[in-house]
Amino acid sequence: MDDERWVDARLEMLDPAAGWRPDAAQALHRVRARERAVKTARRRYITVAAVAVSLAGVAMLVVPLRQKCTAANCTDRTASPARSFKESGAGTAAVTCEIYTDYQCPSCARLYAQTIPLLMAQYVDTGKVRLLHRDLPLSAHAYALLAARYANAAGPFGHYDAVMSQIFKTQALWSVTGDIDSQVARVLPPNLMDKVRDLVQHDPRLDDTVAADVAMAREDQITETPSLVIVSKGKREVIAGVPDFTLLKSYLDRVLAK
Amino acid sequence: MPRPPALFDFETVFHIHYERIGRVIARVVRDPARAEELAVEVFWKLWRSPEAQGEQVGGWLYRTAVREGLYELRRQLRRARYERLLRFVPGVGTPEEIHAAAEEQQQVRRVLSRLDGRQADLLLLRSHGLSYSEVASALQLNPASVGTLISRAQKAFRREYTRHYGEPNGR
Repeated sequence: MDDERWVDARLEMLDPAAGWRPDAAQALHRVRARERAVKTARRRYITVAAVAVSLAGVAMLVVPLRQKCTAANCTDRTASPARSFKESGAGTAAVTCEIYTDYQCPSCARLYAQTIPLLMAQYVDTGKVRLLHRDLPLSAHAYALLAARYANAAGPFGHYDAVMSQIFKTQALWSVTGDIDSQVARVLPPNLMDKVRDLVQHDPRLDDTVAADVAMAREDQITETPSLVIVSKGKREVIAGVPDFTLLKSYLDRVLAK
Repeated sequence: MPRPPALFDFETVFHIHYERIGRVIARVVRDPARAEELAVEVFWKLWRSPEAQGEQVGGWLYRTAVREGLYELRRQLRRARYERLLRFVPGVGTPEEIHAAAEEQQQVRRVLSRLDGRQADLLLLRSHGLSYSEVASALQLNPASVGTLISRAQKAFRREYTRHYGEPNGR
């Protein structure tokens, strides 16, 4: 008997019993349950981390604020947007990727559609890398700063990621008309949208994080978007134009291995 | 931060492939319940691997399933060997183990576990009815060389089987 038939005859013996069928419904239920468990654990971790960051932030802010409030003309201060909403990943990660983007830049939209999800799944969610979004609205783009205001206004309410994602996804629509509002309204509950809208229209401090990011970009000598800064062991390495994920992955693996 | 775009329909992929993936694994590991656990593991990995959620998802699933199955098989055989060495189990097998057909199945599985990993992958996928091009896609091989590789794997399997258990009578 030739090898093929001989081997096939042996392997046929391995067929499971005729009546056996894998239970797909139960298996799907198990996959879903596992995903729910992971999400719950992640939510708990994020809550604990957010509480810790908030407490630390409050501790650092309370003393200076009190000192200022003892002076004349002390007015009530509403909270300005915290920086932490622009960050993702473990604070203990050895490497930080800072990504400068402009909401009206098509390459940035592509970056957030293609590369960032992979970076999140393989490096940020696994605790290897911390990701920090930085705004760098370019003067050539009429609505980039306004888009950044919407995202930053939604940040303190816990909707930064959703709004940022929506703004990039619908870039082709609002970049013509400037109507960012109607696109953001699709992903926020109406009462929250009212608050965000109010902040965008009236809160001058909303641009604080943008100004800080632009100043940082100047220090990094960055003039184009998207740009990436990899921070490891206190050193900042600027990469103008974020490479595709394969290249970025090999680079990050090298940095992490050091 | 944004998650992968919601273009990948996990549930549809699951319903299309789950039963076949369960059967692929069940051929390698003896226990159907364990095979189902491993099949769930395969789909869990798919859920967590955005890079696998593309047009080649079928090939990815088969490749992962066969490797999970073979890994489990090797683990089981290692454990059985240690248990025998440590006399944790009595020398006489269970009724199932002493059954001749079951014994021959075990022999086939042992030989598969001893083969080079890719050769076992090739034989299992081919014997599960996948065409040469499907096997090539699943294992990321050049389709033109699949036939040769399968032929080599078959020769290696037969040689290994005969070396340990002799040529079965009348076959």
